[in-house]
Amino acid sequence: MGLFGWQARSHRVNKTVLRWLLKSGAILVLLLVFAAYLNPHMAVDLANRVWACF
Amino acid sequence: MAQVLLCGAAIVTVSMGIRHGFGLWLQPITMERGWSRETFAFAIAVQNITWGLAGLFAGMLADRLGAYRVLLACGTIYALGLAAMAVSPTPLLFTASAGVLLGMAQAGTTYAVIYGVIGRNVDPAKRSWAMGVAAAAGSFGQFLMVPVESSLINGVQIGSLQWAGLGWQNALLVLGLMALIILPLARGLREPSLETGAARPKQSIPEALREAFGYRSFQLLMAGYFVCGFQVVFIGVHMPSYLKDQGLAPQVATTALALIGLFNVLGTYAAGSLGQRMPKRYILSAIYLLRSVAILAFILTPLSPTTVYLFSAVMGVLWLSTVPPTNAVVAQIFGVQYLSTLGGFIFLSHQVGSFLGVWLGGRLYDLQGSYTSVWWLAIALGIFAGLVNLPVREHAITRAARPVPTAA
Repeated sequence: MGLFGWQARSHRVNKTVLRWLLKSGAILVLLLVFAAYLNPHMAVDLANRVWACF
Repeated sequence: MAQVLLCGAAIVTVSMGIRHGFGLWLQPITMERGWSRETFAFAIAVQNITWGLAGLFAGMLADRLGAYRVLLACGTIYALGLAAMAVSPTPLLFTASAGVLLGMAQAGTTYAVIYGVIGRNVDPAKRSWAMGVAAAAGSFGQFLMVPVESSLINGVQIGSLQWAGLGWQNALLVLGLMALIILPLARGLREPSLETGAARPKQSIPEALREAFGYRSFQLLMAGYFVCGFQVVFIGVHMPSYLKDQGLAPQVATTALALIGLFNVLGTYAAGSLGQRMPKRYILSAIYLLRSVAILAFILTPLSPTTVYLFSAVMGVLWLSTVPPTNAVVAQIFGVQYLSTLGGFIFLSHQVGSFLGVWLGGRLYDLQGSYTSVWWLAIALGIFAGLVNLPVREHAITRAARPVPTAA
């Protein structure tokens, strides 16, 4: 009983850790893409293209 | 479930992402071919209309034959369309490739078709969340692919590292190869019972459509989705020009687009997750009403980069967040057998709204010299959509039992 209880709790902890890792990874990727937009070369190029449309 | 969700999300990421950066090709294509911007814009307008119309048939085929075949066909068309777009020498051929072929490809590789498979394979208790994940993946694709496509065309410079890029034609060919990823991913969405015809539908498609169009809640959801298309596309297309008219720097517009993209991913996921915990009609109503409040605050406060960024972040959260709850309600009311078909019809209403948002924005600007009346129209429509979603009945429709045929 004790062993099974420990295993179940360990499984729950692993799942929680995995979920947090996934969420942190997703936020990191989003921030990296956001940083790509702010890259000076990219920002100027995009801005010129957007402005050139009008 | 994990396989359906991963493959579906990856397909939507690729499909929604590739198309989102098409505006980047406006300058290089029109300059090299010597075409007017109207030629390019016309092809993209045709693409949007084709996407909406072809979506009806793609949805029906996916519900009848399984999404796998539709994805194989449309993934191939996507790759061919991009290659043809790269080499089209005349406006007519360009419209046929960038407009018709790519519109058809998008119809068969985006939300309506993927949501049908998700609806049929994910437990109803997790359906709204799963739809939120898939929609967030599409939003992420849009967010990711603009810098990727810009780098493919023009290269990129990070510190002292510099890459010259491939030029617009080769960049399109690379995107074509990228679209082919849809084909192996489609295997993860196979539905053997549909593909072999083993699953006998209880309703025919015309019966399902008659039932849906005669049901008030479906009409209300369509009306709301029309407003979604109007607001999102009006803001996406006309906001940079509005900011330019107001004398803001071009970098403000690009940062605004980046913020919309970033918060769109978070908002779409959150809307899907919330749909598991509370009535979706309230979520939809809140999204539309909050859009109106955000637009009102935006046009009434003095414009500055800060207000633009705040507005973009708020609108980003509300951007595609209507997609998961709208489709989840349709699944809840009518079941999942014809989810792609009904999703296709709802999406057509979205596309009509999108068309009007772009066109009316330009038309009223030409007539009045400002966007003021369109902003007010967007606010009024948001209030309308917020109100019409409130009476939507989310419980499953009651169907009369069919008479059992008896032997003579």
